[in-house]
Amino acid sequence: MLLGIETLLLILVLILAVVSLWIRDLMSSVVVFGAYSFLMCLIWTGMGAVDVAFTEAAVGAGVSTVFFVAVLFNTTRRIQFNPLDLSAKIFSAILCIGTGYLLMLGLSDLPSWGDPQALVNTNVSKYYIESAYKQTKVPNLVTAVLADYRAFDTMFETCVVFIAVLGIFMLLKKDGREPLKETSAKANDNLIIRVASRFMVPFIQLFGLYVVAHGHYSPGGGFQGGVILGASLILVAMAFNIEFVKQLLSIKRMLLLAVIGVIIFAGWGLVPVFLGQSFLDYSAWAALLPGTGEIMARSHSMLAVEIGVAITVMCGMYGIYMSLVSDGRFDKGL
Amino acid sequence: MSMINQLPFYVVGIPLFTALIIGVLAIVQPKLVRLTGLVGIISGAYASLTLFLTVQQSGTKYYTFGNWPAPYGIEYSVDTLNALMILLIYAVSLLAYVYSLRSVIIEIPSNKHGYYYTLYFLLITGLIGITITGDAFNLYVLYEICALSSYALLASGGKRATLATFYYLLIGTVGACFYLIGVAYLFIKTGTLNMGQLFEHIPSIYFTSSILVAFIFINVGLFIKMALFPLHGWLPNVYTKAPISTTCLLAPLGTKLSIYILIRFYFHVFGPEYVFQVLNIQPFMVWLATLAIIVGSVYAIFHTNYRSTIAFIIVAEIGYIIGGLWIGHPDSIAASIYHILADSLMTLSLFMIAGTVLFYLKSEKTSAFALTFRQLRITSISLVVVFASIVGIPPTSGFFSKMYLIKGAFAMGHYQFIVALLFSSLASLFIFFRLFEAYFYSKPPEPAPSIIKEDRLFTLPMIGVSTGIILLGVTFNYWFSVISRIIPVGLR
Amino acid sequence: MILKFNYVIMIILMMLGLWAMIAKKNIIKKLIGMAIFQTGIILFYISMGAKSGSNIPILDYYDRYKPIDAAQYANPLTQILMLTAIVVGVATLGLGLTLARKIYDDYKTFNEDEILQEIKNEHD
Repeated sequence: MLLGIETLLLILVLILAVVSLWIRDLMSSVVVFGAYSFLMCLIWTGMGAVDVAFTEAAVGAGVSTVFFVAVLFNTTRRIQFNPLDLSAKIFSAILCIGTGYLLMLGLSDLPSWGDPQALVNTNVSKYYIESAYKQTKVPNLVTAVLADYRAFDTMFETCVVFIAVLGIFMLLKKDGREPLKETSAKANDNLIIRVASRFMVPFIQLFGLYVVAHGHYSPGGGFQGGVILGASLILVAMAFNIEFVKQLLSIKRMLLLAVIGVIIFAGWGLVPVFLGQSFLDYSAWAALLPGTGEIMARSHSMLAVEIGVAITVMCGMYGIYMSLVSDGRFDKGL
Repeated sequence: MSMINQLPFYVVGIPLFTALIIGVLAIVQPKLVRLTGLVGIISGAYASLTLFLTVQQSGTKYYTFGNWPAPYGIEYSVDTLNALMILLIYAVSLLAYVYSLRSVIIEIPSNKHGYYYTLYFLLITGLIGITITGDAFNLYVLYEICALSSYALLASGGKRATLATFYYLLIGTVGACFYLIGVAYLFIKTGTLNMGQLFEHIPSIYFTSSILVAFIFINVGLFIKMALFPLHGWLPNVYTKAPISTTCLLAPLGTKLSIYILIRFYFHVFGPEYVFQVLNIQPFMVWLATLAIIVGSVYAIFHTNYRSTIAFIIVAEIGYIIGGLWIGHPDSIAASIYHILADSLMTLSLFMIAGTVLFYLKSEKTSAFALTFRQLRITSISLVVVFASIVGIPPTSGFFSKMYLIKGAFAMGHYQFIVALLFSSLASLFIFFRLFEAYFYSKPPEPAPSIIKEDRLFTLPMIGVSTGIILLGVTFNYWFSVISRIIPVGLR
Repeated sequence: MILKFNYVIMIILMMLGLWAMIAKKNIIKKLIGMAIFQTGIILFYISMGAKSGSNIPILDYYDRYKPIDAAQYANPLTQILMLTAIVVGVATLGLGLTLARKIYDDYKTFNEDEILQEIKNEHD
């Protein structure tokens, strides 16, 4: 297992990384980077990290590539030829080799790869594996730890998405001083793409909702589902035009929903504070949700916060794409 | 749980919820944004003051999120040092916020104010979060909250700010990633992220190379964030181009809190025994700090643009604190922590002055200061106070930190550090007289310039921070007694 | 040493990203380097939590009601940490691209040297 397909994939990933940095065309470089991310998902799946792989497939290989393309499409994909600046290259190479050497130095006494008895696998994580289901009734341990034990991290992670979309919106938004350019806001005239995407979008959205709701039992959850929902909106924006998708979800409403998603998460955690428990202590919700004990209250609360996460992430991905592709004008897309 | 026990949550939760409410108001009812912010920050400041007094009385306070016990959930453990830093963050951000009420109108287009303040409060949340948290990974997430919101806030300053912020984003990400690598090496050896549990585990792995690698990477990551000398390149560019409203909040706190986190890692994760006895790098670090002070001071002299000068003064001041910490004498460590407080206030004051000079006189050159002394009363008084403190003239706080730094350095025999301290004092004296000289030796323009009445929202925080600098100096006995209780037993 | 082979690859990957961030002249390439650096770290965390012969961290139906052997399931904790890191990474990337876009609007190029040249010209 160790020298089999995973090693091959690792070497392939390395080659793709080199190629992506080496190609003298930005668009190709970005596409190769997408392939790199996708292979990375396969490696992670092989290591048993399905949730991470799912997220990376949606975020790294999917949406990040779209963001890159959105920027490059309206700017340039050309790379100017630079006179070879050897001293800078050598300096940075020495710096990196030094850093890498240090890291290698630390490898010598790490536990060997895949050792189930290493301290990293027995200390805290053992507790999660053994008691998470008893305490929360959620078989997907990743969801249980993500949305309950370390929910405080996850809340701030949602905030990070909100910060990104708000920051990008604020930076690119025009002051209203410069005149609006004449734009040809006409629909994409490729019939096949329009029909195909019109056919696909409902299914993508349904799948997104399933991923959000079924995160307790299968890989998935708020982030992955949110990214898929956001991607469906991005697909509409690409296949038709920005005006059309703005009717579905206007920019103002997008921002409002993004903040509401965070408020759902943080507010759900705030309620226990009013009931005299600590922040994010979902078991206090048992008093408010009829017919649930403390354990089921935790389980239901996780769904609630995942919905908040999904809303914010959906609006985040959609908002970042819309800002980037139209340079903050929201009038024309790809 | 009583209100008192919820305090560790309140100090983080209040700015967070303020930010979220402002986020909604920015879209729904923009007129209420500034008022909500003021209410939020004042109630947060009140909570932090109560927390500080409670911790003083009854010792370390613990707070577990989701009611999960410590290594499994995320825990806050607030000791006196934390509470002191949180008090500092609130004091600075309250003054900076009042100042920004006016300066934002000048610098940021009016349709972006709501979004600006949402990010502003998320930045405050992040700054408090990194200070208070007891979990190494939670620290990373909140660091990124700080970083991302500060990128957006800094870049809203126009063309040059965008470029500077882009480089800051790259190097900031490298810093955060280095920190993450360091935590990875600790995590793989111990299997925990809770700082308290890390502290228990680390003595058993003192002599492995992975803890050394972890130590180096966490240090380098934080050095990048705090702009210690060879890694300070990003700081002057960012702080000179960004809007004053942002730098007033970020410059005093951003770099200093990274130093605080370093102190926390030394004292409560790696342990003073490992840092000061197992590792034998004290002389090297003191030399590095010495170099930082000298390089910062020299660059500060050579720049004539006011904001570049103060950016390099910050670089030198970081050298003070790191040097005092690594000297390892109880006096110098206490002085270092005290200097975090003093320097935050001084930096705040310096940038507020930069703001008023820039807004009223439209220039940052040294020559503009002739007019400053003639036209801007309060600004020039604060300038005198803050430079008195930077140079180290008795009733101000800068004097006491310098005195104890020198005392500690003398006791441990680091004479080069003392020389550097005195040199930097002379350099700041020189910088001050260069500003002052412009007043004496330039002819008053005809007709004599009238005195500009500074806006009250500018003068109020400037008076506040100048009073703070003097008050901190006058009451230094109290602060030193508080701080010396924090220093771990092994170092006393 | 062969068992640490994948750690070595990861370190090479991280350093490749770091090198690109410093040495590449094109700012989009710098951002790709940043993303590679971050995925390298994520890979590092994930592989330290992998256990040979283990299952994905979702409990089997039959396992739910009896004592669980922790060695059977991959480490969930590292995965959660890296979920967070991925999301932080994409947020940083988005902001980086925004700044790159604004830089392009100002200077009409992604090339570092040309930008610096233009700044120098403005000063003269």
